Amino acid sequence: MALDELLREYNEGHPAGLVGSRRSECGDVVLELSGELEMKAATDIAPLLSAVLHECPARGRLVLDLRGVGYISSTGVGLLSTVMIAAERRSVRLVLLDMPARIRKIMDTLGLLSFFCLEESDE
Amino acid sequence: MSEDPSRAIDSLEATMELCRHFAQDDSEKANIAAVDVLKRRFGAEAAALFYVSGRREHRFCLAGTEFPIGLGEARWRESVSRAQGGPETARFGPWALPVFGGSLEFWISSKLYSSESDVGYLFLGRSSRPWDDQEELALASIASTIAPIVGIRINREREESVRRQAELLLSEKEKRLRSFFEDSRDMIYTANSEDILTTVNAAGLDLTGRAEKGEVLGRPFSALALNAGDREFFLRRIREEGFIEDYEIVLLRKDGSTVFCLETAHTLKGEKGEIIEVQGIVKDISERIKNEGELWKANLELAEANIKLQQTQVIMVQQEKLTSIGQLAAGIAHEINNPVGFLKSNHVILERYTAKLREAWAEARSAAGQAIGAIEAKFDLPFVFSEFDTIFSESADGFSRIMRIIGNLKNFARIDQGSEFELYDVNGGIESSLVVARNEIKYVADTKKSLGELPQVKARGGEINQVILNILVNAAQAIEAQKRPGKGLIEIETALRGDRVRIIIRDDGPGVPQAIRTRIFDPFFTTKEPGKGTGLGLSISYDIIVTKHGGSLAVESEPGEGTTFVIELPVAGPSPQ
Repeated sequence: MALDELLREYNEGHPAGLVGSRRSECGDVVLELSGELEMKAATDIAPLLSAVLHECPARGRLVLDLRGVGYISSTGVGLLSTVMIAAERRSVRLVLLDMPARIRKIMDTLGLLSFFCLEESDE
Repeated sequence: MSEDPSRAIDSLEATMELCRHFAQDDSEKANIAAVDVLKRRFGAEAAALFYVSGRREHRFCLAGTEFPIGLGEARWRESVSRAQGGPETARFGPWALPVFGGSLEFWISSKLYSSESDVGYLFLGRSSRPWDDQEELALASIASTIAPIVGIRINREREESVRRQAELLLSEKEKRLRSFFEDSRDMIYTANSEDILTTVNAAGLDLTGRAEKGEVLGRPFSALALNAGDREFFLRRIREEGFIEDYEIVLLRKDGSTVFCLETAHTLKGEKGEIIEVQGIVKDISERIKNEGELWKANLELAEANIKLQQTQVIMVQQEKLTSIGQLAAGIAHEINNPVGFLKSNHVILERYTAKLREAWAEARSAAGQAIGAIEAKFDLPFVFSEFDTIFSESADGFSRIMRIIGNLKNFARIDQGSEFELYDVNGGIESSLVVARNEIKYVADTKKSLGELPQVKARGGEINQVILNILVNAAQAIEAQKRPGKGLIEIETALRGDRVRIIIRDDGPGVPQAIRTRIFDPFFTTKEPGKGTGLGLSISYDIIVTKHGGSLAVESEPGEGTTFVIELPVAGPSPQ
């Protein structure tokens, strides 16, 4: 299933619209997450991320833009870890873009920050 | 029957004395004092007041004793049955009071009525003489006077007893609630509508690392959180839904450490739906999160190790390929070195012999005269002899170039060096690499060298040459990809900078976009068309220069303005680890 179709299907089932998407200037898939990445949202979004990951070409990049995420629970952190592992298995580079300070603090407290590739946008 | 005035006065005095006792003493002892008065006033040998106390105990007070006496209900009812029913007063006998004393011949009893019900029964007994009508009237009069007093006292005691019981129950409940609150292992708190903490239990102090409640109460809950913003999300949800379940929050303890918690809370709302209070229970789940975190970390480490292993395998294969290509080139160079050597040697001898032939021909020509001139003309020998010099000169140049290429090929691979760090001539390495890359470069770019005077550096020359070759070929391919009308330019500079040798390779190709500049040294990152690049060249180059040689490899580029690679190598080789 094409990426756009996957996202449309997901967002139809989640009117709050947790996920947006775009392509970076390098052609990377960028998923824009927003809202609260707590237990329910993390559980709901996991299959979508897995499907998107399988659409990414090997040696490509999947960018999760976290600028709009206001809150993350341990389930949310677990989700990012799971996606990271799945991405590495597929030789896809997972990039966390514009991670808010509060999420950074949680990830750092858990000792997981160093495992992720973080990038800041130029804006 | 009319009452005797002296007896009426006695009755009145008795009533006043009784009232005084009741006024002075709130306790049941006043009942004993009352029957003492009646016993004395009526000349009785025994006097008793039976009643049901405020605490629903069946009792009687006996004149001459100290305390009210409790009776079983059945026995009490059996005792008062003589006074119950029937008229207000009764005379009977013989009878004995329960528990105390013997039987007396004559008894008189009177009901104490209050609000249409019996509140007690007075009994007076004696054996000396029967009770007369006047005494019965006097007793009835006194009884009717004190009945409301006794009734009120019993009711008051009853109410007091009910109140005390209610207070006791309330106190018990409060004690249980207080114990539940204070002894809970989880933090229990209340906060006002502004989320300012108003109550917290001991577990709350432990959880937040505070010693005194004063350090917590009166402060906003958000001041205890690692991320104050997380509380905003909590408050928004609880305002919308009235409750929140299993909400994760990280608390920041006073010592700076963090505690992962799970919170369940609800609100108390006023009549208009406004929040009056937030009541919450916060549970420490740090141990669970720690275990989960360790598991995630282990999995991430495993995945990272796995991917590194795969990358290392690919890189090793690629390096092996590069080494093999270098070795192959060096092997071929070595093989053709000998035949080219004797060709060159023969060429020198041939040139010498040809010179002799020319001398001999000149002598023969002067000796033979006219005849040889015809032969000379026929074979155009003057021209042939004049071409000898050009031919031998050009051939000598060709041999020199072949020998230099062979030397460069051998030098490029440095198969004799192995994996040891040895003295390496950077400028010589650049020359060798240019020779090897010549075919890639010559059609797309000119080269310009500005090689400074350098000391030899301690390095694995073969590896450094690979890096230089890789950057040169990348530059040529980038220029070629532009499909520009003319040739591009690749400039190579070397210079000594302190204790480091700097190599600058600059091209005027398309440049590297900012977005990918940080990624060009990543393994497998490539912008080349499929089949043109593995994405490992610069990754391997980075590893060779930075990791193996303790140097640096940087890229400077602006789109449309070309790319500059700057390599720096420590002259003394990498620092010992």
